[in-house]
Amino acid sequence: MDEQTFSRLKISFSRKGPGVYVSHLDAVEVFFKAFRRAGVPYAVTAGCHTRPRTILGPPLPLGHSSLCEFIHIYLSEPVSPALIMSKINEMLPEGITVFKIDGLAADFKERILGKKLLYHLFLERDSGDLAERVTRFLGNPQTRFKAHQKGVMKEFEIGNAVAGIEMKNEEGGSSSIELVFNQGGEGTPSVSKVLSGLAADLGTDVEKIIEIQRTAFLE
Amino acid sequence: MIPGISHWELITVSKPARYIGGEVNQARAKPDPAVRFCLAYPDVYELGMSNVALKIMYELLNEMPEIYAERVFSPWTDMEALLRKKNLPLFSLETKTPLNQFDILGITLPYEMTFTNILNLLELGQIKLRRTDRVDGPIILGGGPSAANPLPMADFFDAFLIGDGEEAVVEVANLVLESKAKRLGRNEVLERLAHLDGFWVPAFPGSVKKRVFKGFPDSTPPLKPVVSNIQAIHDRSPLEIFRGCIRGCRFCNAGYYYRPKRERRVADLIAHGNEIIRNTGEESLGLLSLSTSDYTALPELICGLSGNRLFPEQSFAIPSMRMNDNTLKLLDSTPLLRKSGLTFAPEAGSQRMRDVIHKKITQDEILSVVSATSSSSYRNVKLYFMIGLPWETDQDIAEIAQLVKDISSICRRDRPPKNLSVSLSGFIPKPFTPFQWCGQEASSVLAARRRIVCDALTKLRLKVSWRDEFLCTLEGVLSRGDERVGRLIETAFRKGCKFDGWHECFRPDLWCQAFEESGINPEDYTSERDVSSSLPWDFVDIGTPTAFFKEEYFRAREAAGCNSGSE
Repeated sequence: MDEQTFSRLKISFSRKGPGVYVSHLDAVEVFFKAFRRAGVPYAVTAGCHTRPRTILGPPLPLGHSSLCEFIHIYLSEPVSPALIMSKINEMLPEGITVFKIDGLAADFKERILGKKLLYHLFLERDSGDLAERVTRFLGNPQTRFKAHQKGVMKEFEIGNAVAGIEMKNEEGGSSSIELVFNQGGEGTPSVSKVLSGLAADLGTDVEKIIEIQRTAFLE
Repeated sequence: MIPGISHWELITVSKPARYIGGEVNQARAKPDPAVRFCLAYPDVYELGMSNVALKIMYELLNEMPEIYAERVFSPWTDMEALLRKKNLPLFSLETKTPLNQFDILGITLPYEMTFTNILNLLELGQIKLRRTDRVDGPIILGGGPSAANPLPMADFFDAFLIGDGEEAVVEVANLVLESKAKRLGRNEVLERLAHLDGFWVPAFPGSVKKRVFKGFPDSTPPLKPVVSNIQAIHDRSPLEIFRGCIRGCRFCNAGYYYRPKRERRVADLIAHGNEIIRNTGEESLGLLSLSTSDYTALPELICGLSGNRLFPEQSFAIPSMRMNDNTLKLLDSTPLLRKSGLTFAPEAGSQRMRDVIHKKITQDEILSVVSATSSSSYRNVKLYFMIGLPWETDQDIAEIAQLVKDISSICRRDRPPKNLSVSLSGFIPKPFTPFQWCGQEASSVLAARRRIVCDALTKLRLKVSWRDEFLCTLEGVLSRGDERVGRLIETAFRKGCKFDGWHECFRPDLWCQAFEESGINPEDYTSERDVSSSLPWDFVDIGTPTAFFKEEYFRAREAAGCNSGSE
């Protein structure tokens, strides 16, 4: 076991199955409770309501699975990542799984991520022309769709939200669509809105998309 | 995830995590358990997950090797619509088993405004609403404080437990286990159930004595409660420090229902508290009871918990504290205590009314405690009052406003000023209290008195909230109802009433129609009753003699300045 200790950890985790239905903020609380149960000696924030001192990754929309979630935790005393790794997954509910813990220097500067996202839409077998329809919808910058914003239904345009799109074959005869999303630019609709618009356009055929996965942060 | 519901359908409902399960400390599935027990709370997940009784039963039953206990909560309206649209039965969280496939469905009755939700749970679980129509399916068992008078819901439950559930729930599980082995019919099972202490079975009616769990002081509370994946309404791990209440407030049904007072030992509580926090990782431990300041060794308990911090921001919360100078000093000196706000429940504005209801606190004491909070870190003060108390006069109403003004003056002098809010609720006479014979004021009268208080407080610009007065009348009918009231409840349910305790869902118009169509006159249940007359719930021995309630009634009447002496 790696005995080197660190005062800051980057905890990388996935969300699948039941874990996709826990909101981002609730997932943060899930981790706080897991840290306490695992006896992680975390540092706390100053102020009236002290909390574990953390840096959170970009929020994951409800219903999306992910292979690239992370949370940074500052520690009050140095700890070996391997020690936490040996305990943490037992402390988490179904569907949220830590797969890596990296030790970091306390002053490590994490890049601000979330400007470019790699996504996969997994399609069921024999989904017919679904892949083509999805590609047509998402691949056209002029595609217009409606989605809720602050409780009000508004119209959006794909614009430069989708930077890349490619169909891929998966094992067992199913397929996926690999997408690169741009996020955060002026007037760029969010991934969540774009995929809501896609779902509305597909109607009942959206059921043939069996998983929406945030695969990686490219930037 | 949920059979019959796709991912895309599930993410259209609000808080889909309510229906998923898989939480930390969820009981592991047992292969082929002999008895399957489903514990139901008739409100949404976040409310039910804060309920202590459910945690107690869940842990006790799952410790039994042949029993597997699961949970179900009322689905919110959007999930209900989805279930109905797809003709899918409501299911348990752990294994997604339809409710009608369990051996026992135990539903807690926390409060009367969940009664229509209970009918909704049964219907969504594809279980016949009326017990007389059931030939198979689970035994529908009810318990909890609103089961003390079981008559309003007698049409819908096969049996009720009156009193504490710790031993009783194990007995009923064992009875069903044995009955299944012997292949007994439903009627035979119910007949046997009627012979267990504390159980009332409508099909085999008789008298029933409230069950008291005498082993409470030595018992272990739930140490590994399920940890919610979404924020529960009470975001803390509960630790029940004692059960029962000695105050004898004359309006309080819970005070009599949970008697006698039984305390857990300080050393045990400290050990249990630490273990619960270790097993849940919750930030706060909630010390629960009906009147926490009456715990004999409260300073020692708080000191012991404060000295055993397991992580930096660990805190504890103490609801139901009776505020006085001593408790205020104790709380203020405790750094781990969550200091969100102070709550005072004078319940009445005048000393006369406080004497009537046996709320032993004087105006001077109230003002003294509020003054003592000046240097504390509490920022918010909330006051609770009842309107429509027995023998109340206009002067009593005026004194509510005056007391609030006096308290407001003190709060405004503080630096920074404290935020004061007031909550008004119509008085509801409850069974098994000295006021069980009293009349309940009409909702129009309650509304008029509430407006008097609000008008008097307008210039103070306080936040004043109040319970809907028709809701108070309805609660009065349901709590002091007899077996005819079941007809009203079913009619209201069929009209679409549910989540009646939720402001946005409550439909007084439909309830009014239900009253008319069911032929139930609310005044039959809200009007004053002769103290010498019998009451529908007299077959229940709550542990406090009716003679005592009568004596207290007459003492209250004397305190009100009415004719003295017993009749």
